[in-house]
Amino acid sequence: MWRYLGKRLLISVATVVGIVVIVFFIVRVLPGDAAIARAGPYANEEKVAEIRDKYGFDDPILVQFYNHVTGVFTGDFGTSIRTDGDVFDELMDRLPASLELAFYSVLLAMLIGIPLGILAAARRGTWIDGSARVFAIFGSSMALFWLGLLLIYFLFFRLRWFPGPIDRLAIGTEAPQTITGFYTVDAALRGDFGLMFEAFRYLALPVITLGFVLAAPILKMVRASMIDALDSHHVRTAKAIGVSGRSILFRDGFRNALLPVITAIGIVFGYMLGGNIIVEFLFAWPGIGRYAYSAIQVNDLEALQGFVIVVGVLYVLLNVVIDVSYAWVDPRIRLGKKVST
Amino acid sequence: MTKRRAWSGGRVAALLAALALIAAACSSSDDTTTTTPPTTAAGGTEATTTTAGGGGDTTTTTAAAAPAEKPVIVAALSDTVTTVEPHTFRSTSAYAATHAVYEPLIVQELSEQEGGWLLGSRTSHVGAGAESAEIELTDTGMIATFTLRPEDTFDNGNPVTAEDYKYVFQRSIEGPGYIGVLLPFIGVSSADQLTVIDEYTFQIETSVQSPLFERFMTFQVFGALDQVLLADQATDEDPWSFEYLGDKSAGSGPYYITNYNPDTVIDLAPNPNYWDAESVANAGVVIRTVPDANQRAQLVQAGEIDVATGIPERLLPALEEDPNVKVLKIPTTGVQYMAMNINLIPNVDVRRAILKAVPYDALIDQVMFGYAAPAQGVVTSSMETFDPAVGSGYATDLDAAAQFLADSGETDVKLVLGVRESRLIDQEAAVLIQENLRQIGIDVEVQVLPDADWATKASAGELPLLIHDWFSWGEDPFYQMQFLTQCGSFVNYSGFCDEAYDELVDTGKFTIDQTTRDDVSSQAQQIFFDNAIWAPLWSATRTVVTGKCVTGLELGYSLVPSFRFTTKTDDC
Repeated sequence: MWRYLGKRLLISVATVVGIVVIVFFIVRVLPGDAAIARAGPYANEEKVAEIRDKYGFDDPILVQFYNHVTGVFTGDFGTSIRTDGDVFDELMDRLPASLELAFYSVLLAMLIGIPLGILAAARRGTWIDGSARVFAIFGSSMALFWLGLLLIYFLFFRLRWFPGPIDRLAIGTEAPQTITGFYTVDAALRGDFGLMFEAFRYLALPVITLGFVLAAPILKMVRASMIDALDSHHVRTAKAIGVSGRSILFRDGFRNALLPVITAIGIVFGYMLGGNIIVEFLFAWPGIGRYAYSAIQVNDLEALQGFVIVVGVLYVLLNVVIDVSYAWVDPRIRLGKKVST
Repeated sequence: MTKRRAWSGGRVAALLAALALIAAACSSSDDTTTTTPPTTAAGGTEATTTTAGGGGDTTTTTAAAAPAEKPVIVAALSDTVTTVEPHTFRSTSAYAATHAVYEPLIVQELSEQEGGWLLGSRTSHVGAGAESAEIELTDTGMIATFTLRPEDTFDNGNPVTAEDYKYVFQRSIEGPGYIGVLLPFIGVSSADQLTVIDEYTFQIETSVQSPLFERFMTFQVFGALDQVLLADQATDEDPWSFEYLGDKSAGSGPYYITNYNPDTVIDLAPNPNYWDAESVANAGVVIRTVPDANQRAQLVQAGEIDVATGIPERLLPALEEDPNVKVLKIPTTGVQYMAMNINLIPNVDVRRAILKAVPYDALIDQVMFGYAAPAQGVVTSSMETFDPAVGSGYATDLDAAAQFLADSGETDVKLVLGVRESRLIDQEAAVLIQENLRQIGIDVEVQVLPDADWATKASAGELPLLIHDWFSWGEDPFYQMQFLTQCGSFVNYSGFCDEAYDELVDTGKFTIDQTTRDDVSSQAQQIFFDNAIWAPLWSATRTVVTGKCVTGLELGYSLVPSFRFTTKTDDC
């Protein structure tokens, strides 16, 4: 087990190094001169040159690369040309908002996708299965921004069931003292359940938007894996010897379907970390996605690099967690045996 | 030596008193708007508005009608705040915040408009940081002497003195901010021109007679900075404390910053030490960043916010029908234009053909939904010194356009029109322009470019056609002409350079004689038209959407909302 974990961690470190290197060069291929964008209309050539000098844009590319790599590995992601703030600090300030949104969205997606997938597989060919597949198609083909707009319009603007898309809490409400950065958790830990409820109310619409769309791939994966598992020889044998239907469904079926499902959830969570820019923009959610959106508009290279590296590192960590959970779910993996498919 | 103008804060005192009365009479006693900013101004049973006038203080007392609690005003402006440093800020949200925090020597006189909002005069100014001022013309320039208010303090209690105003001008000249580029317009280039006569008397001697001097003195970028506080924050690398002011305030205006989070929020609380604190009609202002314009509109319709700007024109007709909101409309002197790069389109007849083929009226109707006026030139139609005889030439005439193209001798004309990714209306305008140019035989490729890429290509002169917009601080025609069209200017995207034109602009910049200004401006406009440098597309109407109960919103030179007199009534 430890050897397995060590190997995964070594691969992860190599992946992070690769991300740091690749991101540096990709970001520099972006069109446009950040110094000119930063200088604004009242600038002149002198002012633009000053900005280039200040942010090191004039340095040879290898010098910039060296500064970038040494900076990243010492926690210095550089200075944002847009805000003049420390990129690492700014990302860390915004990360909890994105993580909280991602966590609850994936949770909702799992709560919808897993039971529906199991049910669809268990009742294959029935109207339940048909409805689940329609839901999956609908979720897969629905554009996030469109669903978000619809939900805002109907659930906030028309029906007033949820608060408007303005932030993580109502205007004037003090944020809970930071423990985890998740407002819902921090408020609960402080015993302020009113604040926790308010945080959930503001989370609701973006979480429903993302959860609905993300439930589709989970549902599809659970259904397909469950069908494979339920068609397997051991399930047939279990049925033949009279094992109960519930036991077959959850012990023989779902447990054996877990590996691909965990993979799907991991992919969905990873997508959420980097891909919720649109939802954060739409709901004025103060996370790293919105930060990246603003950075893209003005070629804020350091901020963009920082965003991609943070998301990349989180993705790598997530994969380590998934790999570990594989080992937990399937003893053959932690014992180093080959998995026959 | 001619004495030009001397005035005091008397007129503003009367207006403030009237507004205080209106606010007191209209405010709800049970208005329980939120808790941030923390300051809640309890009115009690008696409110006093004290404003200092030239001949002494004017005190107005309103009995019994004062509100129990003033509302907090929530605004969602159109862009993201990245810094609140007063000499380097780059957004309208930051403009609004710095305007609330830093008090200049004088301000625009306000007049109430239909709907209860306040418009700043372009010609009449009254005392703010200065209780009185005197401007004298000399043979070579102007001498302005400002008498400050002895009772005036910063939000931390430090007194505001003439040294603080000298500091801000010196910081503008010598510091790394961009405000220094404004000072040549008023003939100030050295700290030697700034004199502290005594603790409360400050003098500026300019090297030119600038028609913009008074207007510039109203800009918050020249508002008092607490130099005692900032001296403590200065370092060798940052002697003017730019870093410190990036997220904090050190002003003497009606508000101070209590909370600033880049990209998200600025909370402003009333400055309890403000010399006219009682005139502040609300308990604070929250400026929120709501990036999506549709959501800003819905939030104000739903009553969750009070003020929204940057609402797309296509949404405005529906909002005007909504009884829950008010749409304030203010014609501007700003210009939206399509620049033609004379180095890439050297044939003047081709440029004339383009100028005549642009569908000006259709753009205003279909892209701006009527919320614009014809721009008709680099000096726009609502701008001082505009010459309608020249401006009328900017009209669609496809036959004339085709004739110009034939006269040019050029065939198979293919051009790129660059527009910014973030500007949907530019993209829509480009499509209409493309269609009209196609009709006369010019093939246009519309390139939607990331903003930074667009700026780089525009600066490098790589775009034959591009759409850009501009709004001049102080709304002066010569200021506008200098930045957009004089030789060598950073944002002269057409590459136009004409010695005679530049001379006319320079003449107009530094004369206060209106006849001369009209004359040289007209000549410059004619040269500009003859060379067909731009197709001036429209002059936008600035719109601000507020809740139906919001009153007292101020709109001055910048047309960015200010909030000192803004409150909410319950009888609307």
